[in-house]
Amino acid sequence: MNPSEETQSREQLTLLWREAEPSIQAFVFAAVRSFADAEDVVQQVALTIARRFDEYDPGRPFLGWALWLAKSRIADHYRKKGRERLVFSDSVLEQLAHVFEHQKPERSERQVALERCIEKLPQKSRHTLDLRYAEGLSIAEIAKRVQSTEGSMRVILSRLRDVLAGCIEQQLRKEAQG
Amino acid sequence: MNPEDRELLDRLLDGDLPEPEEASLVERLEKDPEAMAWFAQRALLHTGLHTSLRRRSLQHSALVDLRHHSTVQSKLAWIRLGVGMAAASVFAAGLLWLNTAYAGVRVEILASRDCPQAEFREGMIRRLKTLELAQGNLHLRLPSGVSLEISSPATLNLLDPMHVRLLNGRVTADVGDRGKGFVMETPQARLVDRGTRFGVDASDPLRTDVIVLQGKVEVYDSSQKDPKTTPTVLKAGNAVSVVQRRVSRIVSISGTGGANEWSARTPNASDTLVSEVRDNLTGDFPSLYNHYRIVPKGLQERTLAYADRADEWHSLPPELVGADLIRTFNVDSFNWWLKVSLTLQRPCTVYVFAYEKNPVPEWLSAEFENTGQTIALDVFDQPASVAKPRTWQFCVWKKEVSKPGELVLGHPYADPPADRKSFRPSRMYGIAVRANSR
Repeated sequence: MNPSEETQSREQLTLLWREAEPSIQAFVFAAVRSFADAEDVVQQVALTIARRFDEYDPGRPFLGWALWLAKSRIADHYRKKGRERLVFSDSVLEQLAHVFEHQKPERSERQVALERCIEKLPQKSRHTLDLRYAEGLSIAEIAKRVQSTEGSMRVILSRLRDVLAGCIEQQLRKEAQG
Repeated sequence: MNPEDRELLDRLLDGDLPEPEEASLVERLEKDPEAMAWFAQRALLHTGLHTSLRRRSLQHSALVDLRHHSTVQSKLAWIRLGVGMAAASVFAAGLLWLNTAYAGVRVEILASRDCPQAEFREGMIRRLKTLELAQGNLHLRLPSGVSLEISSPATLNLLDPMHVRLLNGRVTADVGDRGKGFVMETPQARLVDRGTRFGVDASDPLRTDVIVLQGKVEVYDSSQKDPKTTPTVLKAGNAVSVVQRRVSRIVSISGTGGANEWSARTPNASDTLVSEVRDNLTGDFPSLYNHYRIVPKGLQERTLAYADRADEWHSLPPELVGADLIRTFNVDSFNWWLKVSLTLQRPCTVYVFAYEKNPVPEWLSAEFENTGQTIALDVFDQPASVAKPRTWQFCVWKKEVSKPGELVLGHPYADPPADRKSFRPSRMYGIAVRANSR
């Protein structure tokens, strides 16, 4: 590959990855519980894609190929861990990958909408989400931190996600209407 | 789908379901396309929240850091903010990380010694993903300000300016203020720096040795990637080896004073007067990680006196110049039963430097002879670069040893104090060894 072809190939990879990355991340985060482990697996997927990009057939969907590689990295992750069981069987991972592959391609708009919706949340709700997502605390740890029960925290977090999901849909509808 | 099912799927994402419930939910998920679609949508939200809130948290920390700095340091803080934001966006977008990993990390070669590889000439700037050093030594700097001294043979993956994987070889990292949070991985350990200088030896894939020269380092075994896991925190003067997830103290290190010139392996008997130093502290203090450093011919004017302090020996009696130096460490809280054992390979004279204002311990006056000479110690209570030292005198005691073997030294103080409040610690004794003239 000459330098100009290499630059072109890198630009193509960058564009494809930018579009696919939220789905890959969501796929990995659904299958790997700890945020730190999930981040590592996403990095491994990115590295594998970069290394094997010359094997990619541009006639086929990039996301499908990337999800297929991600599935192998998830399996590698559990194999390395050894003592931990794989939460999803191969066929469940296959189905989940299929769902991500066929979702509407509006992921970056969703992330922008999510940023706006987070801004609208009351301080206390933001704090609860920070404990879960920025600090990576478990439900039990959050309950202890805010002196509440695990049951209440589950309900609160579930409702907050519902509120955010509703807000995102509303934002996307507004955008679509111009 | 009813609200209960949705809550269960949220709990599945949170890793909050007991195993039997989880298995049955996953089975139902497989048979219910609507639930699977909802779960995938929720996973996108879950990931989006992690990405966004983590990035915001990192940016917030960087801003708080910035506000705490004086105007003199504001430039530095801005750089830190930039690094924090860059780190946040790398985590957030993944894309930048991919670009870095794909294109490699910009590396500036500061110095090269005994290295015939043309790509590593002094002053060169290169972009590298993997660095393989077959011969010699290399000193380089990453864009994060972290500098690495590498001794061959060594192989490193440069993952990004704040993250290096040492596959084999020996490296000393000087991280400085800008590089706080720098991560070095080896086959056995993951080291997270807290603003410091530290050395890593991963020549053996089954063992990683770590020595901290300044500041603090967090040591995780290679399987601990969760940031909530409690690490082993090492400070200046500490040395450990990590073997199969077990962190253990390295008691004795040998080598010259150079950054990468150290080894925790026992040296050849023919090369050294003192092959090993041990003490009786490990069993009683499992979290004690201090080491003794044997420095052949290391006693010179203005040489570091201790493995854990910046103090320096000077005004040496002529007969001591060029003697092998043992850098000890300061053991104030537990020193009344201390026993330090030297493994001597040849007939030699062992010198002990005891603080002149302390009463002489019984073992010292009984077994050693006071030479009447003194050696001076400049005591730096603050970093040597900013502090004016106080100078203390130490009396030089000596003992001639006619046969190879073990020599046991005792504690640095004469008697236990009446209570802790009345005790004023000074400094541990120093040790030097010279071969006997034939």
